[in-house]
Amino acid sequence: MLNEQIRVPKISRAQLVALLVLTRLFILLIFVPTTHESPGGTTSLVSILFGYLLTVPVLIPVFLLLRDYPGMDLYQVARQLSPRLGKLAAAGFYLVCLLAVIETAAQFSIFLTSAVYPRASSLWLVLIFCGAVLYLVFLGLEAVTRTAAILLVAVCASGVLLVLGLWKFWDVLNLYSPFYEGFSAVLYSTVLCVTQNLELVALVLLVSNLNTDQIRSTFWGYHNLSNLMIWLMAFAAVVILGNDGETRSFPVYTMFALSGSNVFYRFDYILIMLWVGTSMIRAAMYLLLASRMLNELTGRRFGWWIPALNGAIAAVAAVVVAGDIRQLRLLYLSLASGLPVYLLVVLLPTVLLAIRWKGKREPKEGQA
Amino acid sequence: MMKKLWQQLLDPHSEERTRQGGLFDASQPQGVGSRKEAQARLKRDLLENMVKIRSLAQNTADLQDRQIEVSGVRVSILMCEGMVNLSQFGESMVKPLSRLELKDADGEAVAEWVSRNTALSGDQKEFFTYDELFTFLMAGFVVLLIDGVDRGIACGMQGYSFRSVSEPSTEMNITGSREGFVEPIRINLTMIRRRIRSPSLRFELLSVGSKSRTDVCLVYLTDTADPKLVEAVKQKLARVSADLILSQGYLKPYLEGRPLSPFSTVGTTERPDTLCAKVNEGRIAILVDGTPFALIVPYLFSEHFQSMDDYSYRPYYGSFLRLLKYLSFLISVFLPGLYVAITIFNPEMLPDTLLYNIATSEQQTPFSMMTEALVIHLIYEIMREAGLRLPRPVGHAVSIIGALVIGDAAVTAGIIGSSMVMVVALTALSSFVVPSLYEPAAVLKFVFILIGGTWGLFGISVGMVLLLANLCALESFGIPITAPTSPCAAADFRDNFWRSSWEKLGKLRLRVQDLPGSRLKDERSAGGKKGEGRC
Amino acid sequence: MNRRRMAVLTAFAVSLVLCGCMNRVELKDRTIIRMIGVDTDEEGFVVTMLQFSPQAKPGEQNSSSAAVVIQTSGRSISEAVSKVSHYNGNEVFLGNSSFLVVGQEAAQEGLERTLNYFNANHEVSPELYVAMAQGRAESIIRAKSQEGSNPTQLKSLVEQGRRNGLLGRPTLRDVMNRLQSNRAEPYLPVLTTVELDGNEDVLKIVGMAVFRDGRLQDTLSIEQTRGVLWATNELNRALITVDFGEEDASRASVELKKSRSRVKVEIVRGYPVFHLSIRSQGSIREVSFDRGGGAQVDELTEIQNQVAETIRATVRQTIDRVFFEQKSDVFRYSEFLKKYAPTYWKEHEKDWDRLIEKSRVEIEVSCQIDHPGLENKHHQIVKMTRSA
Repeated sequence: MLNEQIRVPKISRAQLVALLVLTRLFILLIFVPTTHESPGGTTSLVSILFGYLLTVPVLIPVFLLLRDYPGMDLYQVARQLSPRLGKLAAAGFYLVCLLAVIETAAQFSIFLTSAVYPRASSLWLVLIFCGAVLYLVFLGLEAVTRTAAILLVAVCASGVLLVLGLWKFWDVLNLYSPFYEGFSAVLYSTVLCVTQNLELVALVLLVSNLNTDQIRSTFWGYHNLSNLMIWLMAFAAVVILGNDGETRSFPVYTMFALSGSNVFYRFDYILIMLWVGTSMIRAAMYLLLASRMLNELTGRRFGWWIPALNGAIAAVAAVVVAGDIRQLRLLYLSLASGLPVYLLVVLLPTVLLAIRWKGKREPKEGQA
Repeated sequence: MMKKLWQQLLDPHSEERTRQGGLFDASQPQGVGSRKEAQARLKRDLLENMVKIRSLAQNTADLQDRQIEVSGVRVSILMCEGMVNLSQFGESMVKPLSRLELKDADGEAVAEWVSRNTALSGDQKEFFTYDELFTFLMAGFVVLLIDGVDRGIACGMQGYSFRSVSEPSTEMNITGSREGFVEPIRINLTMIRRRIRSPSLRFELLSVGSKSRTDVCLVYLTDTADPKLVEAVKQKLARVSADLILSQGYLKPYLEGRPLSPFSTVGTTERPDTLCAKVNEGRIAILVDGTPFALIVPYLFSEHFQSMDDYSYRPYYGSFLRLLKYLSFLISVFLPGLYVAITIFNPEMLPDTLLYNIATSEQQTPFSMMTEALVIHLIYEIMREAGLRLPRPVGHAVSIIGALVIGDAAVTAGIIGSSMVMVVALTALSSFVVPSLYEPAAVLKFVFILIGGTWGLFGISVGMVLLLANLCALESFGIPITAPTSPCAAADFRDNFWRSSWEKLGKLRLRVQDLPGSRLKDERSAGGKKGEGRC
Repeated sequence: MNRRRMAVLTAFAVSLVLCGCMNRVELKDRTIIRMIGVDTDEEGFVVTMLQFSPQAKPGEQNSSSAAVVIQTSGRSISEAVSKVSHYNGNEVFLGNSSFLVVGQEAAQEGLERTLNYFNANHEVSPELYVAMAQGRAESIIRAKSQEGSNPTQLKSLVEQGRRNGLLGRPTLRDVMNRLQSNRAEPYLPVLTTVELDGNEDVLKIVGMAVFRDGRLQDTLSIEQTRGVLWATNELNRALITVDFGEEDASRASVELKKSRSRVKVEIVRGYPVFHLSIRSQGSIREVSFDRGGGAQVDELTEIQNQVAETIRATVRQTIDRVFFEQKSDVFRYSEFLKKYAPTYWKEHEKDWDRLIEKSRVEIEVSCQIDHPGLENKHHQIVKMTRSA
């Protein structure tokens, strides 16, 4: 039985941070230079820092709004302030979350068939993946966040092992000027860091599940930790892989394969396990959110059929997308273009703030 | 007179007994009397009571009754054969009753005397219904029915045979106590009471099982356990619908919330010291009469890896043992599956020399790696089970045959590779390091062999994540069983993956209901405060 | 509840049916390749592979294994490798290959076209050792060494060579890294076979192959190889023997334990100047004096100076030959320019050949002998530097 139908699951700040950080790390693992159009290299080292700073003002409207509605998420606030806008917001959130699930499943399949099992059937990989993710959704948000916390610790521990195993490959000559490709490349990469950050959409939807009202500290926890880990991984990729990291798909996978040569021969099996876990958690989180939104849109009448339906849609779409790298690129770019973040995390709260301000003014004018 | 009484009571074939209306009347119809019928109250007339008792008991062979006169009042003494301590019976009951001389006594006067002026036994109770009468009788009490009195008096004089206190068979200890629970619940209670000499230690007796009416005792500390938890346990036990409760395993499904998981949310222990330690952390222990295992709720996953020995050693060694147990569990579940997955799908992950050795050993075997793994692990499980059930002298022979069959003959015959033997041996040894997790480990390893053989490392990874998520979803009476790992509390880590020193362990008092994620407390009011060390 | 159980059981049953979805290959159905050699011919590539062939019998504890050589050809390496299945029907497995040998001719035609297949193969480890054969790679693979020990011998040869300063890091990843860079060039150790007793061949490292634009340009001797390794900070250990004293009558062997080199870039009058400074640290292993007696303090200083001069001369000769004559940037000076003078590099990247002609490399070497050996009664530890 769907846990959410029994009661509202409550998670701690640390659990939400762990969940969001883990899903954010997904971007590291699936980096493919040809599809992701990210400059990579030393440019990313600076753009990550600039992106860290640029993300903060982007979230000012949503913080201002949610401050006055403790215990509610952005959709619930939208529904309360304007039912019509709430429906629209639910549809928008649903679409974004579903696309995120499809993208995750497709990327997962492409990684496995490129780097690990070239002759495996993409169809069955996606089906098994989506089936497993559906099971996670049925276990509920609390189970997903607890699993995410454990996996994040495993990721950090493996990161330490990675560094220990790669120290002999360190070459500072690979660290050239981050502005070598020009300021425009840095700017583009910086904007990409903000617009790729789909986890901001998840954050504004999951705050209603927090057992505390401290949304800003939750955001800072996620923002600091995720950017730190991404920066460290990008730095390692630059100094260790050098040119190889810019031209080879899945550079993190290459690093893990190299890392074990010191002690355990190869570490890439660790990455495969972590990567599978990260992908599943990411897909489960977005599928859960998509199911929640569809539930709201359909008036909460269909129970556990909703996640099953979403899972089926995601599976079919992922199979189609995974079969064509151009479609995957299109999907990725549509999510990373900034539309989801701008519309749902910036524009929507701004409009809601305006509606609320207008609502406060009207009674005053009436009184006058 | 005493001697006459003894003979009358003890001789089942005595004609005199039969003439006095014993319960061995073959003319009475056989069959089970209904409990509803037995709920009726006792009558004042002794004869009427005896007739009723005879009809309800269906002339069962072990029920003994004897009628005597005490100060001119007829008294019926009932007991179950073999359950009463006869020397205590003679000294404590027969002697005083036979010497009692009350003037102008009626039934009430005799009953009053027995109830107020003497203690025929340490455990003496009055009862009013036939149902209670049978309950006491079958618990080894001696029951007195007095003519003219509509109640009975039960005197505890149990003297049935039971196994003496010995070392627990499933929880071995190198240092520390060698006492384990036994079948009679009363003796187990004394073992607990000796260890916790606090007035807050409470034993609450319940009766479970419509036919067995097994004594079940809740053990908890009133100043530590959460009252909501106690209430929840009682409610769950009240829903037990089984006729017979013969072991603690009968109660487990009622206490567990989510049966679709290989892991249990209810713990068992055979050791009184372990039970006391758990109870001190706010848990509730459930003792079941007739079984030496006690149930513990709530039960966390990390408790499977804790043992009393950990606390006898120095912290560094205790921590080492703890980590070794975690590693052993992982090996017992995942090693066969990983071995199959890597050799079939990703042999590049093996070092060269190892790969060549495995390839050489597998060259002549007729089966696929997955089939080999399944077959050999199945053979091992068969032999393990056979070794458990057989008598000891034969059991040794089975283990020798097993070693020969698997270790030598199968390899020589080319049925399996020698490397597979190593995997089986390591898996088997690892599974015994954490005996309480043997059941899930035994089944899960087959699951992962299948997954590894069909879907490779990808499948193993998916399976691992699903298993982890399944574990994370489990809650034991509102407390996530993966606490304090996830949700995590830094302070509670002191006894999780490692064992801190006693200085640290003694500083903060751990109560299970205070663990992070617990529904037994209001998270919103308690969470979010700085300085609590919650991560 | 029954439905759930049926669902779980059905899932298991389905999983068994899906045995074919991951394309599983049993270990006994794989052809495990230990070493690969790639040569070229008129049609394309000739691939010679050393296959691991276990000769195990049931129950044997110590089974032997035979080394079987397979040779196939094709228009591409993929095509040639796929033809291996014509021999035994098994699938080729390159995941545990420890060595890739490129023939001289294949190296002349271009290293990248040979290595691309292996770089793109998910089974192949990035740490696969790559070497060039003096002649055809086939000769290395077919070398009649002790049964099955060719790859082992080669691997230990390479690892010892790295420790003793005979070669750098000849792994697939390092080579590809250089090939994919702007102007830096890879290098490979050169192998040959030496016949012993007529029945057995011994593998030997004879030098280093340097490349330009990914094609073989020159082959260096062992001594010149050392010069490259000194200049690129890849030399771990080396033994240098120098003559010193009156009329160079005495001789000392110095073991260098650590060598560190640094490069600084300066743009002087529009052209780059690379300042290479090498610092070495070592100890004396053997000294033989002309008069058989003890030595003065100055002689130790002289030994240090001689060692420094030897290093300087070797590096100078190598840089002149490789960098200035062959215009092969195995020293990665282009990457130093890119890192320390990015603007300059961006403007002049396309004129790299001309830049090489106009650039200068200034070499400064210092040597410190910190341990005079067991025979120390006449020696005191003195730190001296001499600028070259």
